[in-house]
Amino acid sequence: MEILQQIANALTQGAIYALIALGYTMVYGVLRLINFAHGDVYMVGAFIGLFVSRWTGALALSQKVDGSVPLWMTAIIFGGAMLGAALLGMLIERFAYRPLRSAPRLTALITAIGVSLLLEYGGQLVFSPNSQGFPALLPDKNLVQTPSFTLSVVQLFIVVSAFALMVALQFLISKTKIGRAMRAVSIDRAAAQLMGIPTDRIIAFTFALGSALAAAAGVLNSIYQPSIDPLMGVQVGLRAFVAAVLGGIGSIQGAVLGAMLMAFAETATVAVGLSQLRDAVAFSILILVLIVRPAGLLGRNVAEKV
Amino acid sequence: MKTTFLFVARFIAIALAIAVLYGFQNTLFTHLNGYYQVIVLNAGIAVILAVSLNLVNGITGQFSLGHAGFAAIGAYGSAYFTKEIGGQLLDPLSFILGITLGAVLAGIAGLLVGLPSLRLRGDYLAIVTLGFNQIIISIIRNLEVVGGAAGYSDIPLYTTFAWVWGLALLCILSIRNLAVSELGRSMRAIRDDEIAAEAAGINTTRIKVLSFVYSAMWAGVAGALQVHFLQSATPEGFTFVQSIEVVVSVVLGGLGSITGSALAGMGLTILQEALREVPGAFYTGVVLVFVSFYWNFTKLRAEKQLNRASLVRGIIIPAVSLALLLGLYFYPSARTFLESNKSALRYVIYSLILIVVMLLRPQGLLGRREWSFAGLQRAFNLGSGRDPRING
Repeated sequence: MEILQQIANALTQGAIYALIALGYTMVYGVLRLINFAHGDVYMVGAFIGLFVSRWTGALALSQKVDGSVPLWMTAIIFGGAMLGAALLGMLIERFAYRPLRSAPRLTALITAIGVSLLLEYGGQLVFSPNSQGFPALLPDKNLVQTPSFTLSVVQLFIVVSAFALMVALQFLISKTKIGRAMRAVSIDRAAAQLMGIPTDRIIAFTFALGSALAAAAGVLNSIYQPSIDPLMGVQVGLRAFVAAVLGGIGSIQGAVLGAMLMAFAETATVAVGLSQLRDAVAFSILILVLIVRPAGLLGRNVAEKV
Repeated sequence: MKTTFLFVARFIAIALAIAVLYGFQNTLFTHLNGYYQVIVLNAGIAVILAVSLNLVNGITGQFSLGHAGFAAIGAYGSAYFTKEIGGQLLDPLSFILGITLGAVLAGIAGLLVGLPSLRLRGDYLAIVTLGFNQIIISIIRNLEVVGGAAGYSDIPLYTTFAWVWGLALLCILSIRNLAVSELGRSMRAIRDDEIAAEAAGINTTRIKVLSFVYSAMWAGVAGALQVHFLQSATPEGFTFVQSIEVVVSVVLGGLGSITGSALAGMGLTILQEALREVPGAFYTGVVLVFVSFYWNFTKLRAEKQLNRASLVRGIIIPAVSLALLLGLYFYPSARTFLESNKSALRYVIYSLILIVVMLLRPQGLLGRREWSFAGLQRAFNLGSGRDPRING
C-alpha cells in the first residue's frame, strides 16, 4: 500500500510542523507579532540537543557499532534542549520585543527579522556553517515492515510524543490558571492588565512555552533526518508559519490542523512528482483558503469597530 | 502666467538633469573600477525598489511583502523581449520597449495579486503577498523558456548609469507628486484610518489597488534595469529574502518618508558591500556603537532621569560591545577566525544594525520627515522639516 506509506510520512512531517506552528500561533495570539525568529529557535533547539548529547556521551555511544542510547539520556537531551530554547525565547522577548510594545507593529517585525538573521548567522559563527551529524537517539528499527510499507520506531515516537505535547499544551491552556491568563491576554491585553494579570510575565511565559515546543520539534526532526545546520530553520519555519496562518493564526487547534494539511499537501505534491512546485502548491492552498476565509480555517473573524 | 513659468522651469530642470546624468556617466562613472560601477547601479535600483514599496507600505499603509516577485516579472519579461525579439530593433528602442513591457507585466501581476488580496488586512496581506512572491519564483523555476532553475543568461547589456539614475529620479519625483496629489491624500487617509476613509467616501479598494499596481510597475522597472547589466537572472535573486530587504530599507528610512526610503535603499546597498570585508565590518560596528550611544544619550537627556537600567543601556552595553569589537579585531586568533567566517560576520553586523536602529529609533531614521528646500531653510532655524502635504 503505497498510499499508507505516504500517510505515515505526512503524519510524521505534520507533527513536526505542528509543534513549530503552535509557537507562532501562541505568540501571535498574545502579541499580534509574527515572530520571524521562531524557526531559528527551532534550529538552536536542535543544536542544544547536539551539545547535550555530546556532554552526556550519547553521541559517542550512538557512534559505536552496537551501542544504543539509554532512555534517560534521551530524556535529558530533550529536557536540555527545551529548557535552553525556553530561556532563549524569554531573552529574545525581553530584549528585542518588550521595548517595542508601544511602537508601530512593523518596527517589531523588522526587529524580529533582525533577531532571525542574528541567530542564523551568529549560529554560523558559533556552530560553523557546515552541517553536522546528529546522534541516533532511538533504535533504528522498523515496527512494521512489509514490501510496500515500513513504519519506524522514530516515526511512531515523533507522532506520539508530538501529540502528547499538544494534549499537554491544550490542558495547560484550557484548564490551568496560567492558561486562563494567557487566553485573557490574547483577547484584550489592556483589560487583562486591569484585572491584575501580570501581562509581561504571561507574555514571557508564552515565549518560553512556544520556544520549548520548537526545540522539541528540532530534536525530533534531527533524530528523523540526522543532519543539522544553522540555516535549517528558514524553510521549516516558513512552512510552519504558513500552516499557522492557514489554520487561523491565534488558534491552537487551527495550527495543528493547518500543519497536517500542509504536510499532506506537500507529501502529495512530491508523490505526484512535482517536488519542484512544492512551495507553489503550499502557498496556493493558503491563498485560496484566505480568500474564502480571511481569518484562516479555524480563526475567528473579528469585525472591525471604529 | 505662473503656471507657464513653472512649466518652463520644470522643462529646463528635466533637461538639465538629463545633461548632468550624461555628464556624470561620461566623466566620473567611466573612471570608476567595475566593482564600484556595479555598486552605484545597484544603489540606484535599490532606490527605485524602496521608494516604490514605500508607496504601498508607507503612504497607503498596507503591508506588502512580495516586492521582489514583481521585480522578477519585470526582469524576466523584459529580458525575454530584448533577447528573443528586440534584437532586430535599434539599440535604445529595444531597451525602452523591454522596460515598458516589464513594467506593464509587473503591473498586471500587481492587479491580479491586489484585487483578491487587498480585502485582507495587515499580516494576512503580508503573508499572501509573500506567498505570491514564492509562487512566481516557483513558476519561473519551472519555465524552461527562460532558463528554469539554472537561470536566464546572455541577456544583452543595455543598462547604463544614466538609465538607472534617470529612472530613479523619475520614480522619486512621480511618487512624490502622487503622494501630494488628491490620490495621495486618499492613500494617507486609508493609512491613518481605513474605516474613516471609507466613511468619508473614498473608494478604498480602488485606491489600494491603484497604489499596489503603480508600485508593482516600478518594481518591474527595477528588475528590468537590473538584469540588463548583470546580463543574467536567477530565480534565487528574487525570493522573499530580497522582498524583506526592501521592506527593511523602507522601515529603516522611516515609513512614509520618500527621502528616507531613497537614502536607506542607497545606504543599505553600500553597507552590504562595506560589510563584506572584516575591516569594513569592524568600522561599521564601531560606528554603530557610537551612534547608539548618542541616541541613548539624547533619549536619557530628554527623560532627565538616571537609574540603573538607563546606566546599563547607555554606558555599560556600549562599552562592553566596543571592548568586544576591539578585542575581536586586534586579537590575532580571533581575527583569523573572523577572516575565515566573513560571510557570516557580514550578516551578524547587518542584523545587529537592524535590531539596534529599531530599538532606539522605532520610527526609522527619518520618521516621516522629507527633504525639501523649505526644510533646509527651516533646519537652520530648527524647524521640523515635515512636508504637510505628504506627512500631515
